Amino acid sequence: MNWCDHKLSRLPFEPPGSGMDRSGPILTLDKVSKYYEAQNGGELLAVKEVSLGVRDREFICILGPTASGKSTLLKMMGGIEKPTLGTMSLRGEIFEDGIPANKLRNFGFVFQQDNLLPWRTVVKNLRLPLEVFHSAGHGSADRIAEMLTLVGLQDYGDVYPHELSGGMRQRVSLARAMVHDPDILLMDQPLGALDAITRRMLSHELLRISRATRKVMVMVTNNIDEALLLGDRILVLTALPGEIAFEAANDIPAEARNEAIIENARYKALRALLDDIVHAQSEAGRTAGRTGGDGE
Amino acid sequence: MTTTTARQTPPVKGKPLKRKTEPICYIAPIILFVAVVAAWALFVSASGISRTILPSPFAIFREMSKNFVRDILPHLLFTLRVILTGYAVAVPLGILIAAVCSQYRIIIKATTPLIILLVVTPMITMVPLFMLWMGFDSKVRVIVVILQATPIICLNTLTGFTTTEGAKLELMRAMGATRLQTFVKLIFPNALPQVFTGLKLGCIFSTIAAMSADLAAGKEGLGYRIQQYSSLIMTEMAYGTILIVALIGIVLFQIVVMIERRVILWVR
Repeated sequence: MNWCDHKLSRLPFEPPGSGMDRSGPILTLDKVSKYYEAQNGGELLAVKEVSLGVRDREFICILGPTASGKSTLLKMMGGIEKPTLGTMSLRGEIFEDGIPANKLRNFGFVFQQDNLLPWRTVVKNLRLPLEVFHSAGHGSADRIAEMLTLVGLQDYGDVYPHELSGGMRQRVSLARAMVHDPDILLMDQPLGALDAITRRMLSHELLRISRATRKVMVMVTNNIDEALLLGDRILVLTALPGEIAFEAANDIPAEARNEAIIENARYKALRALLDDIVHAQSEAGRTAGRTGGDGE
Repeated sequence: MTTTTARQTPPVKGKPLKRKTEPICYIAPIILFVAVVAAWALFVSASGISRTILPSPFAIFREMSKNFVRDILPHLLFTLRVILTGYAVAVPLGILIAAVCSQYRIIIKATTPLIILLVVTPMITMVPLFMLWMGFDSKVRVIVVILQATPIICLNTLTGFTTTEGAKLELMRAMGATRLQTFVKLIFPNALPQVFTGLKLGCIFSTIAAMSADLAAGKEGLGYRIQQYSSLIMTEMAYGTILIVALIGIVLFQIVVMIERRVILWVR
């Protein structure tokens, strides 16, 4: 892991609202691995011994080449997939077999596709998590309205998803992931399906929401600019099997993270560095002959 | 994908965008119907074809309006009752079987060929056997309808239940939804378009099955009437009754289409 020797990783970790790293991590992954059954009958290692501690109010961005198991890693955090090996712990409580269903109200998950139910209006889509968690009672209408206001769609409650644009649908999806007030928001390439302009606009929107809600956020992305704009900590995974190749604190100050971030000197330096690392990992994956599929 | 503009004018609240049907869509079938009748009448009078082969549409109308109330109506009501009773049983039964089957992959695999077998078996071939076992009771006809309509409803519904998008299932799993919650909130509503396809086909199959049962045996029903009119060379009445049967199918089909339009408000 020669990347870890780079001076960047030795920089002090300083999330906005400093001093947070003194409290223990909320979510911990301890040598988590995931095997899939491959089509030839063998086993495919998608994620290899990833250890990670997610701290309070932290925004983590996970970068990696396509087919690096980064989505699989996130899905294990969100209880969608069970790890084959390794343990996970949530607020000190250790789970051998992945996060159990009754703990999942601590999480909100945003998918790459908006994943809205087309037969439900915007409001009813937001009601879905509340129904599943049996908390769709008194006050849920207020909570839903609050979330829609947060993502700027307060006037679109009675509209069906197909009447909205792609960017608006993804904002509804974001509101839905937060409506049950989870501690941790997991986002699997949430802006990946959007066009470039919408994508840039929504990434700033995401920054605003992250600052407003101060939730723990873990985002998988293939976009370095997004990672540098949003992430307090940035991880880079290797090509399959995905393991952590590089980890760095993002020391671009919070006040510099705005529309003008591309002018920032530190941003330029980090961008070049991360670009090299991700590129090297993609190359390594390609030369190793691990092709085929997106593995996510 | 369209780009987001921050403040678009919101649509009128609570009113899903309605697709307006052009008036031509209503007029076109009527024009076609009139044209077919005209061509038919013209053909009959010009060719001098025997009325036992093809009577003129006006003769059919004349004979029907003369005999409808006395000779057709009781049989119409009888057949209609058979169709509706059978259909009313077949709909929940078909959906229920599909729901149970869809729970396990192995059951889907095991039952699908059997369901297809039942779909393609013309129940008319079975009617003499049923008569043998159960007599000429009108219950036999209802059973024939149930047996013909249930599999097609079940097959379509099952297709709907088993084609849920993987990402949507992950959404439910991410919330720790139970099996029942996943079925009620995701799988069933997601399958509704296919369920309705099954319901529409079920109407047609029910009507066909009721005719099959009538034709095979018994002294009641529109099918029996058609057979009787043919043997008495009352071709006008035979044709007229066939048209009535077709009308039953069309009306039932359209009723389901109307319900479908009220239920499925989203565009796929």
